[in-house]
Amino acid sequence: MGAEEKIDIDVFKLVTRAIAHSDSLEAMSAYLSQLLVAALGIKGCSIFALNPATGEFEIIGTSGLRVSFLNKGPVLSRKSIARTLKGVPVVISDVDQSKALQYPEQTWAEGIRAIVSLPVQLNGKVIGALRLYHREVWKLSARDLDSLLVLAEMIGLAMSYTRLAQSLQAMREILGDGHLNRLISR
Amino acid sequence: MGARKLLLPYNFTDRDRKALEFTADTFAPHGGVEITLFHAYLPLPSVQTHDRQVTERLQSGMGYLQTTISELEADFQSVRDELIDRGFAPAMVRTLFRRRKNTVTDAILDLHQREHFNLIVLSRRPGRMGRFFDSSLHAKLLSVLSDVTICVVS
Repeated sequence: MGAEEKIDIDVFKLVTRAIAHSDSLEAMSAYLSQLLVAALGIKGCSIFALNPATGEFEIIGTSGLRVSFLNKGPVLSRKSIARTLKGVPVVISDVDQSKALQYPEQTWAEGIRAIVSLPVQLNGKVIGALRLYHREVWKLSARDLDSLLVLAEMIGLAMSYTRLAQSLQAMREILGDGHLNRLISR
Repeated sequence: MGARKLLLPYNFTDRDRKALEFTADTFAPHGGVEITLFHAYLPLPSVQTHDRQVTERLQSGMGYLQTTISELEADFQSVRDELIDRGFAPAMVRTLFRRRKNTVTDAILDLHQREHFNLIVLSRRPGRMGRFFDSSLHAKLLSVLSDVTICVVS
């Protein structure tokens, strides 16, 4: 018997609205991670942005995880489930059987038994990651994995849009609306 | 002269811890400072769907997340205890653990508008990617506020 499918169209609509209606990346990431935790019945979820200068995955939104786990140390993209950086989804059904973790002891202490790590990509480049943490050994259905990959792509688009909007806002603050309008109308 | 009012926003990061230690080291020995330890969190989203079973499943998941918020609030109280252990009088340290409607920056600005703090101690992590996506908290506060001392712990 295959794994149970948990992301149906109702859940997908709720999650999509959380992405479309949030007014900041922080709020979007928080709502999205909360909805995924609730929909999948898992322990926690984090959304990361990749810092190209340090190679660190920096948390932009998270839910369900304790402060002590979140502050365990920098999440280095080359040490923590490194295949995510190659743009492939990684399903660790049982963390006991995996050597891909950067912080295995802290993961165990947090009560995490399974992790799904999905690349957040834009134009074929990894710009972040979506990670889901389960308290039990986890067999994710192929269809749920597919849905999560689509969500990861939407996160990539939202990150790109937010960065663009942020840049425009910064230009507006420096130049003023008049200068910006003249710049755009050229 | 009354006590100076200090606002310490706290989000449980390593940099927030540095800001807390700076506050304790700098102000606890002298007294005369009333600290407001502030955490603003986003409320859980609505999970109403057309399918009753899906809604119930989501509500059950949200119940779990609500307990994690309660645990965070308990952790927040222990941060207050730590300030008291570091030398502040209990009556001079209060906690505000609040839901917020907008950004943390907006929540801080709203609170400051009502309470008129003399000092705000902020933390900042240099080179953080999040700054590319959301406006920087300390930059926004520095550009908007006047007649208040803002310390940025980096």
